[in-house]
Formats: sequence, structure tokens, C-alpha cells
Amino acid sequence: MATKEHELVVERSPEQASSGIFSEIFIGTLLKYGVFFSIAIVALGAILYFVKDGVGGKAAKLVSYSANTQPYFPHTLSALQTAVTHLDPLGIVTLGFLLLVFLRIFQVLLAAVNYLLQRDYRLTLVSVFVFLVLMSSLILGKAGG
Amino acid sequence: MNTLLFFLVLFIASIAAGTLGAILGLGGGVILVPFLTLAMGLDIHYAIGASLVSVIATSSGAAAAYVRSKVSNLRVGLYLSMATTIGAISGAYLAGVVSKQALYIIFGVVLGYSAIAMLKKRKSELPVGIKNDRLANYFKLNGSYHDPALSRNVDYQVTGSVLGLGMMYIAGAVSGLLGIGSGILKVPAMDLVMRLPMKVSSATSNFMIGITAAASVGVYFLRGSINPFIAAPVAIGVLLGAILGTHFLHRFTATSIRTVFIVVLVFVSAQMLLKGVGIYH
Repeated sequence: MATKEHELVVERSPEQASSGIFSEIFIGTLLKYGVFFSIAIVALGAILYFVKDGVGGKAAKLVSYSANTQPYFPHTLSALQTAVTHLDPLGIVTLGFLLLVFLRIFQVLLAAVNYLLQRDYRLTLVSVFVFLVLMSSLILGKAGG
Repeated sequence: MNTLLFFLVLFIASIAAGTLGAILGLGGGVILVPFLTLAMGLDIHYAIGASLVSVIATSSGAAAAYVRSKVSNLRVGLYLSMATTIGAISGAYLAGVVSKQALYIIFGVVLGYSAIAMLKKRKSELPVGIKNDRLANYFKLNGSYHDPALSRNVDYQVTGSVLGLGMMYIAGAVSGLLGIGSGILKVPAMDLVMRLPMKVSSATSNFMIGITAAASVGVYFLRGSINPFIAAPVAIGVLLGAILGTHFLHRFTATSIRTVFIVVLVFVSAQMLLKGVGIYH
């Protein structure tokens, strides 16, 4: 059933989709290298752990969970900062994880800038909305913690 | 088990989960959480935390390749992320209120329904005769991509934009509650409701699940549920697996991906239902 709106479809050309400084290709490239960089930091932390503590320790001690005791690894931003400045291996691992999260948030911000430059204000608003929700989740998380 | 052996076992299993996840458009969480809890005997809190991190890694790794190959529809991805991110935050906060037993049952039912719905549509390779609805026109959600399996360009339009958004809110909430990417709910929403081609649904889901997981990971981090000793081998393994999976994806036709996906849906659905009624721990 064709209605009026359906006749208004404007096809996007591939050129339009990939134009702009922060193009879709650029976002893809950023994601690719950003994720490798973050995971490299995670791997570095893991290697550092085995170098420092050896390989003979009991895994069960590190992975058993108790709701009542504080975890041995950093789980607040201030604890993470302390751990990283002391080159604590598991702190470095956690830093890599947070970089992964910020990468995704940054990616949405870049998408917003890209659509703004293309004068695509509708998608700019969509991207800014998603960015604000992601940022607020970190603030809400902070308040909750 | 010593620390290095434990690390390597998690690492190798995560490579397998990441490969399967990328092929199916899942974060691998639905495979990882059962593996970490059942096979490795880890606490569900840590399993969920490690899964969330791996979801972001998988999604980033696979999304990068899909975005470049233009299979992933970024406009659809961002449009639907408005609902998934809010859903994810709701889910992460509701996690303490809603009983997990009830959630497992709801999840199992939804997945079972998705499996049946997808089974019915198995013959259709690409959606035909779909026209953009009002919102799809407003945000220009239609797109095109080159399909190497069909060796031609595929143009497509998008329908069900409002219902799709609603389903994405639920998918986001499930992601926040269970710590999974919930690509398993996102793919059917795009495939069956918005009528996107299967490959576009799968690739766009991969793009979105990382953004969804990023919305709830902060809550889990502050709860102390992200154990770096577990999450590190899982995240590294899943990323490597995702790269393998992405390279395999283009060799399959949409029908073969769907067949694998249905099998996974049935398996996870049964597991969730059994968990919900307390038969299976």
C-alpha cells in the first residue's frame, strides 16, 4: 500500500553516507584501532600479572565471589587511579576495560559531529541523545555506588 | 587449577564463543554466561561482569569490519540505540528489584517465540516489497549494501520503526539485567519487525550491542562485578574470536546463518526456562 510518505523516500548515495571528516569509514577505523589499543592494555596488565606473581598460584582464590567482602581488585574510579599509578597489574587490566567503554561513548560523539557537519540535524539530535544517555549512565552509576 | 592454566582455558573457550557470537550477531554473552557458570563453576556476578566487557570488545571488533564493509546501518543503529541505552540503564537498576527467576522465564518465552517466528520465515532470503514508514523516512533509515554471496548490491527500506524502538527498549533492559548484549533479541526485532535484510540486522546488532553494554557496565563496575582476572582472558579471547567470525560471515548465505541462529535460540530458551523453574542451576 503506497501512501504519500512512501513516495517521499530520498535515496542516500554511497558518497553521502561516507562524506564528512568523521565519516562512517573513519568511525570504523577508530573502533578498530581503539579496541586493539584497549585490549593491548588489558593483555599488558595480564602479562604483568604473571610476571609479578608467577603462574603457580591457585586460581580459585582469585575468582571466588563473596557478596559480603570487598573485592581485591579496584572497583571505584579513585581505587583504579591509585592502582594504575602503582602499576598494579589488575588495575591496568581494568583501565583497558574502561577505555573500551569510553571508546564507544566517544564514537557516538563523533557520529554526532559528523551528522552536524553534514547538516543532518535529525541524526545529530539522535546521536547527541544517545551520547547524553551514556554519559548520564556513568554519573548515575557513580551516585549509586 | 593454577592461575595460568585457568587463564588459558578461559581464553581458548572465549575464542570459540567470540567466533560463534560474531557469526550470529550476538555478543557471545548467551554462550559465555552459561559456560562460565556451568563449566567453570564461577559465580554468576563475575560471569555477567566478564560477559558485559566481552560484549563491548566483540561489538567493537566486529562492528569495525562491518561499518567499513557498509553492511551495518549506522543510522538505524543510532536511532535504535536511543531505546537500548535507556533500557540498559533501567535494567541495571531494576536488577536488584525483579526476581531473576521470573526474568529467566520471561526471557525463555521471548526466545522460544523468536525461534518459532524465525523458523516460519526460513525460506525468504531477502525481504521484498518493504516501503519506508513515516519515521524511517524522517530519519532516512533505508540503505544499501553489497552482498558477496549474491554478488550484487541490495537496496532495502525500513518499516515498523515505532514497534522496533519499543522492542529495543526491552532488549536493552534484558541486556542491563543479565549482562548480555541481547543481540538475540535485537536481531529478530530488526529482521522480523523492521524487515531489514538478515545480514544488515546481524551487522547492525553487532554495532549496537557495544553501545548498549556501555550504558550498564558502569553500574556493574561499581558493584565490583568486573573481576579483571576473569574478564581479561574472556575479553581478549572474544575479540580474537570476533575477528575470525567476521571473516567467516561473508561465506554464508542468510538462510544458513538463520538455521544456526534458530538452533542457538532453542537451546538458550530451554536453558532459561529450566533455570527459571529451578530445575537447572
